Amino acid sequence: MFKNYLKIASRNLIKKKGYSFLNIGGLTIGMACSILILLWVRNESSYDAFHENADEKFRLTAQANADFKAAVSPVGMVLGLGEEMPEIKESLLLSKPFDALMEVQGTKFKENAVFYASDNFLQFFNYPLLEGDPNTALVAPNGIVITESTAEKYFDKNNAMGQYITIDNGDSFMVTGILKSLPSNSHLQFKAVLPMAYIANRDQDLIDKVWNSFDFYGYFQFEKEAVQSPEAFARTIEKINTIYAKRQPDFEIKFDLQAIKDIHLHSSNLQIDVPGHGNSLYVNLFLIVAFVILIVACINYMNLATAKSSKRAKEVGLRKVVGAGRHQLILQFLGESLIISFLSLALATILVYLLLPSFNDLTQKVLSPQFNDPFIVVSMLAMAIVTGILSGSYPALFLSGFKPVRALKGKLIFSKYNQFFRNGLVISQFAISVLLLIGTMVIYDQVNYIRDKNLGFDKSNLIYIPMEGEMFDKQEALKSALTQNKLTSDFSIISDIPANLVTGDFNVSWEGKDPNLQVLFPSIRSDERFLEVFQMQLLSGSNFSKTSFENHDYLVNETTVKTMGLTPEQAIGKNLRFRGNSGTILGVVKDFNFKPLQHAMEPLIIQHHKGGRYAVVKIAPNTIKPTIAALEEIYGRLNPAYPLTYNFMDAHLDAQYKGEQQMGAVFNVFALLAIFISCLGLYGLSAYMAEQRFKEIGIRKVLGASSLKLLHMLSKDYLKLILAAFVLALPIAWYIMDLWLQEFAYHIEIQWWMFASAGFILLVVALSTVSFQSMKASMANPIKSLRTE
Amino acid sequence: MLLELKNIFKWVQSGGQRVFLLKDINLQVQEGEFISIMGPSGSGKSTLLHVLGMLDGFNEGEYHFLEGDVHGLKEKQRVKLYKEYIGFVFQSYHLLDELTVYENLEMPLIYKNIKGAERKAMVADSLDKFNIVGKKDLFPSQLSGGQQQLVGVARALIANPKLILADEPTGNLNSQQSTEIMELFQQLNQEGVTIIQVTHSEKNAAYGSRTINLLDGRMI
Repeated sequence: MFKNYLKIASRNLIKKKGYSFLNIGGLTIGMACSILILLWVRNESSYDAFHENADEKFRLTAQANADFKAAVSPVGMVLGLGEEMPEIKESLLLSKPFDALMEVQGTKFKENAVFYASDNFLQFFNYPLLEGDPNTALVAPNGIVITESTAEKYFDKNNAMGQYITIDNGDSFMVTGILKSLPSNSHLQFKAVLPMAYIANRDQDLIDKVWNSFDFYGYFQFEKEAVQSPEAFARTIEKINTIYAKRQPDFEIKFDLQAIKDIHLHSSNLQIDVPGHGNSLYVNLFLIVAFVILIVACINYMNLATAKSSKRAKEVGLRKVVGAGRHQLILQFLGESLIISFLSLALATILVYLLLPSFNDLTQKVLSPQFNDPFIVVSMLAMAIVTGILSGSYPALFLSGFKPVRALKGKLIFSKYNQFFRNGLVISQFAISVLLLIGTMVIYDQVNYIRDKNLGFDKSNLIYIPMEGEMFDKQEALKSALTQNKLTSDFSIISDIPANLVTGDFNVSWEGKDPNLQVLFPSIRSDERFLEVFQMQLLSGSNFSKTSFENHDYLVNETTVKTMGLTPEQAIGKNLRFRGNSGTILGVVKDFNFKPLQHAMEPLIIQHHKGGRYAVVKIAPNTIKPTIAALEEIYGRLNPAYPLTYNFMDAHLDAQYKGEQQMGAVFNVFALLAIFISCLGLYGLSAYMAEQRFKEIGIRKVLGASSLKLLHMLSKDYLKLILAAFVLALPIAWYIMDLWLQEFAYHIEIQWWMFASAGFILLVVALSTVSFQSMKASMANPIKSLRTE
Repeated sequence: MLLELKNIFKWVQSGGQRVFLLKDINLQVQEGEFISIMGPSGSGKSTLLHVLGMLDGFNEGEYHFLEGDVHGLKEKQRVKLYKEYIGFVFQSYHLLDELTVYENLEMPLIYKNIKGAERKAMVADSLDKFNIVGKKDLFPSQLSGGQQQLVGVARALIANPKLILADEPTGNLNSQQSTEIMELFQQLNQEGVTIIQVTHSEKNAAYGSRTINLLDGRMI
């Protein structure tokens, strides 16, 4: 019996090529999209699961107030907590990532992402070693563990162990371990790891084992019992907070534990974190998109199958007459849709292979088609089965219910219900399309808004150069060299780039400060040209003078003044204690963004300082090349050991929103595909509708209707559906997009024109899809349609 | 007795009024009969045939088939009954275009859950009997009308039914093809198959042993 079904199904497929193409094409594209998203989601949610006992390992996070939560902890706490809490099996201290200039026999490269880590790093995290002993590799203060690719860059492949690498033109480190290429699904990505022992005697935090300065990452492995149940977990966190409160009664910090498996997707609210995190919001969003695309493809199938049901009515009637029971027919039609869905799955798998490289480019991932992953395989099979049954169920139930006599006579009257159902399907397809279109527009607009937002300073034509090596001690020489050259004379020396500021102090006080107020004050140190070079606006007071450093003069931003409860004018001359230094507020700067736009504006204190860690040069228009040449010359002269590294401020700022931009691009692609699939279905549907009304059109034409009138008549029905879909989609779109926008402290408002243009685009696309068929039907010679009767 | 209809009424509701399709039909059919149903268009011939074939229900009356009550049966049991005992032949043949002659013949056997090997033998027998062995791999569209109806008759007979119901079996055929089909029916009747046909033509009716005339749903 099954063979018979297979035969009928395959012959139907071959005979009705156009129909099959629309169906299989739609399903294939839909499934390919879903598989790609599935691979991506699988990768995103697999972060750090490869570590042994990953469920027992956590990162300590600290929350200062409702707006400020950070991934860092104090050194003393990370090292000392284990002594007071026997349930801690293992503690790991990790520094913030930094850039290092590595040198091996004259080969010099600037390597970003290097960490200092305590000696149990390779036991705590299970990054597999190619060579070396995980227990001892990071014990000696002059050891270094590098990754496979770093090793290949500096040494012959096989003899890197025991060789020396000079770092920052200073000390040499001996390679004590070589790591296999890091799994891409690790939240820590690095080129090399240095032993914490190396800075144990240099870093003030480490020497003093401080509990009040938050500059390191702390990881802990707990006894299973301490973290397994939610109650025990809550008790453990409570215990940590109690210990800290006892130790630092004047600081009100709330600590929390973050499972290492959650770090990648659930860190978007954490500041001062390692770069490269994902966002659970996007994972959920894309899962929904994958689901929606599949639904759209299923709807295509259902629609086309029911639309052409009149053609299959005869077959149904006949099969019933020769003895087919209803369940046998249901099985047959379900079987057919299952064959189509599995065929589509096979084609989709091929498509995934072909598209994966481009998809990887788009998402900046290294996904591979993991068809040996049982989860992926089972999901794919489930997808084909569910798609097949879902899309086949309505046609199966509908067709198998035909009364045989009527079906054979071709006297089928299609019920209002059937019409209603089909309209419902088309409306949901259109609604999904409107939804995705609006989503595309909002995301595009928001990403543009972020890029173009007035940050409160002029980010264009700014080049910044980090001070490295000898440059720190030659800042006066650098300043005079920069001043002497006309191209580089417009410059400022600052401590931090106002892009993603990671500084912050609670140690700020002023007269009349509420003692319970716990606000974090980020700060920047700069020379007196900072405001000028960045073209920031002074609201009141004056800029730094030459003597501001000695006088502890401060510039503050508007938000600081607001926090103090003053107006910009009142604040001038007020006393401010910052890090134990009492000084006066010299001027108030208009608020400018020094953190990514996800974060709301925070107070900022600008200290005067002669030196800094960056030189920022404002380039005159059209002099980029000669300016860079001039910088290279100056830099090479003053700091020959280092190659010049320079960055453009605007590019650096844009790069902060790479995640959002990628997400937007991926979303665009999937939205377009979903709309394309909908159009495929609509095209097929309109063809059948026009065919069904062929005779009616003929009669109307004979009676004098013009082609234009007929076109109008045929398109009118779709117009109503589009309108209904539009109305349906509006509130959903508004809700979802608003949710996304809330991620940003600075965001656009959803505008009516986004809805209007989404509706308009859909209208144009849908009507042009439909009108091709309508046109064909309305232009046809009426005699033809009437003669067939 | 093969079947008996007692006081069968069938109507449809139209504009608040009952329109009678069948009125008080009483009919007894013995095994081995060859009955022709005649009457003008709209007299209820096809409706009667469909009621006899259990494809259509009725509103009042009793229907006994092989001493069993049809009117009390559920659809599933009715399907089982006609699958077993009744074969249909249609005016427009109603072969499945996507299946070959062989596969069209095989279809009723599949629905009767007959095993593959046995099915093969039965289809081969049938092809042999109707002299269409050479056409077994052709599709319906590759056959003439007469040949298609021959396949239709063969398909109706393949499961050895007791009763053949034919709805204007020669309506789409030319006179020579008509004669061939009617002679085939006569021969089958002589072999013991009961046949009830609906026809417009006196000539075809003459092949039967008895003629029933219908007018406005009533037997006259």
